[in-house]
Amino acid sequence: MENIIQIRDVTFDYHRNSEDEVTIRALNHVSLDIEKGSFTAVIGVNGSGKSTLAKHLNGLVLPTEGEVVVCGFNTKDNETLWEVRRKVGMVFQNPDNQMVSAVVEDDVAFGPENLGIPPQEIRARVDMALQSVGMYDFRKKAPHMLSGGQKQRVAIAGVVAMLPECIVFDEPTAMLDPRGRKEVLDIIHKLNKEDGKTIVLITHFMDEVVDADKVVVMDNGHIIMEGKPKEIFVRNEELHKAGLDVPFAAELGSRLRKRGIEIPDNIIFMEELADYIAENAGSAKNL
Amino acid sequence: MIRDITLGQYYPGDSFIHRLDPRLKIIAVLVFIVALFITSEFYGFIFTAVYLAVVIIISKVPPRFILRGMKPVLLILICTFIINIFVIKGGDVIFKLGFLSIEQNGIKMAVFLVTRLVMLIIGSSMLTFTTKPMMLTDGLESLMNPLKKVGVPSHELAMMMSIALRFIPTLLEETDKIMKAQLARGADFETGSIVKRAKGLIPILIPLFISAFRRADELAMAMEARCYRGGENRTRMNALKFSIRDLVAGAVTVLMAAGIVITKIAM
Repeated sequence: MENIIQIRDVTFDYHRNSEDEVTIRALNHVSLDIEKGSFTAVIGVNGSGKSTLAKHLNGLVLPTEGEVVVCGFNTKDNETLWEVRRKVGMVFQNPDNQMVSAVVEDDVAFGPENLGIPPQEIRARVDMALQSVGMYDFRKKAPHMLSGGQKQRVAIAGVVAMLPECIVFDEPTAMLDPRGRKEVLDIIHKLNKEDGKTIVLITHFMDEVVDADKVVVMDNGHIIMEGKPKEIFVRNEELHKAGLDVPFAAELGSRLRKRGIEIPDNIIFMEELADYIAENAGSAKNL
Repeated sequence: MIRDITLGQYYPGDSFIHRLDPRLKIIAVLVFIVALFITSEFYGFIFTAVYLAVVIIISKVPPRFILRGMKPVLLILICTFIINIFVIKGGDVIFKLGFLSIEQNGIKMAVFLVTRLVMLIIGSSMLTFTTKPMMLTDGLESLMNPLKKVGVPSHELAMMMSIALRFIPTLLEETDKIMKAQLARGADFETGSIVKRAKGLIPILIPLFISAFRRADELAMAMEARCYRGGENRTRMNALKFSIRDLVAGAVTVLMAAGIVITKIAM
């Protein structure tokens, strides 16, 4: 598969404030490839550098060393920066702070308007985007009348209307209640599976990453693990060291293993674990 | 609750006046105001009064709603009336008490000025009653566009206004939350002298400002991520369109203004 984003040996330093001489290294020689059409989850605790990494993907932040290449365009190149931002959309954590307009449909139109698209086509794109996130009926509403999950869906529509190839979600569910979280996650998966968008999901909720094609674990500015969810979750000791919990099913499986019960270590989903236990409940040796 | 405050004074509706191009409405209000100031005799007000009455009737904005909008300026109206009635001299003396006297011209002038003010206020509030705030900013941006050549940042001004409108409810909600948080810690905003109460606002304003700046920072980043780079090469989904409806309304406004100018010259 071709790589839509290539992160090559990126280091990012910043000063806490302008007088401060000490630099803080948010990213330390990070390299990562994002495959076209894939679902990549980046996980890490606060301060692990995951948000900084996200902001590198569309040139909101430029690397101190190394480079980020999006569809062949280097984010350091000012000429093509807007092309990069058109191809890589971004949804942020706080839905309130990313809505520009006092009417839902005008907010969704904001991105396409910035791209200079003719009015009729903007209209069509806005309707399409609102329908794809299930917010078409709310198109005339004011954002402050919506719930957190609904606002975040509108924010997603605003990005979808720009027809990006890749969408980066920077902790999109951190401020939502469980119901809003589910709504947003369902849409993210739908965008990946049905519309073929490349997804990068930054999160600190372990259970949000089990369905990803690839999980990237960050700690202290480094990528410490990279692989399929099943490969990552068996390394629960290392994850604990990075301050992360493995998903419940994987944790339960590993504790049962410690007690001498044979559970395959590639089981990470609740359903899988339940099915396995049910199937093997008869064999006395195991359970 | 604090978030129930109605924003602006928009009266939702779908009348002829509501559907007019906001640019036309802004210009019509300016013409109306100039017409009011050109008028120097009572009969001149016939044109403006009829014009205003027609606008109100077509717009279907209830008079009660309009009168409620007059409340905040009632004091100014009363002051204007009282000052003029005593200060302007001339004509028969109607009432005399010590050094205070009311003369005929004083009454005339007071009534004249109050009529002008009332029409001025109702006329300009008809604009905000019948135009959504977002449409108003769009209209202002479009009208100020020619001034771009002399360096007026019309797009930026309009963008600032619309962002402010978008964030008023958000910040009101936040104020409410902060107030409750401070009340829960024993803050008292209700009793004490004015100075004490003003000081009590500080623990509300500081967190509010800090959060507003943080929001501004995040919003700027989100706008940049959505390819915002100023007004250059930007298109609009709902571009303002000048229709026959606007032409008719414009013609009526011109007729009203012409009527006033002609009668003024003729008299």
